[in-house]
Amino acid sequence: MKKFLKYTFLVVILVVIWQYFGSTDSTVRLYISSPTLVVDYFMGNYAGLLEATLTTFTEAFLGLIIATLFSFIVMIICFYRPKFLEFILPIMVTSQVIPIIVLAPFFIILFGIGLTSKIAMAAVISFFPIFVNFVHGYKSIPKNIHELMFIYRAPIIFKIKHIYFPLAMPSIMAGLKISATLAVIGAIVAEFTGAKIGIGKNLFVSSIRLDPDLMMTSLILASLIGIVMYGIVKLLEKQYGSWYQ
Amino acid sequence: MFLEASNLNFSFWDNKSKQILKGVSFSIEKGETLVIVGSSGSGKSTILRLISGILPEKNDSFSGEIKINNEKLNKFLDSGKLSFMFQQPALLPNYSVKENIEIPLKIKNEDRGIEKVLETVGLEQYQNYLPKQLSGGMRTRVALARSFVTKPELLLLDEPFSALDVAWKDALYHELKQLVNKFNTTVILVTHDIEEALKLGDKIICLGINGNIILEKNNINEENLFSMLEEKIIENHKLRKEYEKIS
Repeated sequence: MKKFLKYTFLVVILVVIWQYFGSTDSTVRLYISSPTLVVDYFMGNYAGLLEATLTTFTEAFLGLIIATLFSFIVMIICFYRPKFLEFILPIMVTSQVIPIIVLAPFFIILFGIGLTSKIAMAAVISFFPIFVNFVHGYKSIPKNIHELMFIYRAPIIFKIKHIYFPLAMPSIMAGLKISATLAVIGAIVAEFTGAKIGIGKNLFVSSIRLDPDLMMTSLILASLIGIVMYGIVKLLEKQYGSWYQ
Repeated sequence: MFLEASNLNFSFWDNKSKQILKGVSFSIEKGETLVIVGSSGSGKSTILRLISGILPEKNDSFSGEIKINNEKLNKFLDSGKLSFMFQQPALLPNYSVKENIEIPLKIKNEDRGIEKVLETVGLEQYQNYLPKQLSGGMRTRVALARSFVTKPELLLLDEPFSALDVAWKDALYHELKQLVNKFNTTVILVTHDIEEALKLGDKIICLGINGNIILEKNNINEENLFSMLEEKIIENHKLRKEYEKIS
């Protein structure tokens, strides 16, 4: 509670400073608006802004779910065929030299301007941290636990359910936390490239119109999406990772 | 004869010039405890890993034969009558004491009560604790209970008590003996602690630095056995040092 109060106090101080300079200095106002102007802007356009927020959140959230499921499926294949992991891991790592953001226009061409291209972008950008952390978690399982399962002749299904997933959970969660925020970045970047609605589109429009109110409102809403996504992962961790916390 | 190992020779695939085991042969009767002693790197644990089927891995160089109940080793291993206790307890950190002990039963889809084993090792009131909430000695007790929950015919112990203090060791020796007698389990214990070897073993073999047996005694109560073993191990250790210097 004490910690929460400290952080709240820090945020209040920052908002007060922002308000002070935003209302006294026109240059500052031109760059970053001011809290009261942002609130005014939000109250005047809340329906459209909330719709954009919900859209971006949906894209990021679905992208994260797809990335998580896909990495789990790939890992399950690797559990059945360990050589596949040795084969695929260098490819995955090498693929990261491509700045994934440059794929955004490709996805727009492939899937069109709607939600699908943004979900695909969010999924692609958030896949790698989940997968690599899962691999790390799997490889960190003590050797003697693997040997014990071998001696007891544990079937692969048992090992996946009782050993691999649970013991890799701290690493899976670490990957999910990174990917939760990356998914938001992926969705927003894809919206920059072309979208009917979304926080990314609003940010893009604000830069063209030189509209600091819209830009700051969108930045705050994007941050809120990131916080909510991170919060969802934390809730999941509380549910499934209580043993290591 | 319950277990018969004849002429075991072994070296790892990545260092075939270093022979870990050289012509090792021994046998054990049902319900007996064989203790393997020797200095570090003499191949004690390798014997356990060969019996448990963990070794040889692909490309390791292995020759010799291990028979249990006069049948091939693999047949025994597949029957699920083997248990292994490692130096580290190898407990699942996400499972409670009770769940950890039940793991071998879950794998076999057996629904058997574990109360008696829990009672023997004195863990009844800790059964819902997670491993991180237990001391080192308690964790070893959980591993011991887990090893006996399937009523194994053969139990392999790889220095399971080496990290414990004297008081814990003494209590665990007592519990181990109780369980071994109860289930008439055959035990192979690897240790570098001669006192432990003499307390728990029925017969003893001592391995030298070349992976061969340098001392074998079927009567653990023989006079001066402690000093004889100590002497052999120290002598072998010196030999190794000299060998390392030369090479």
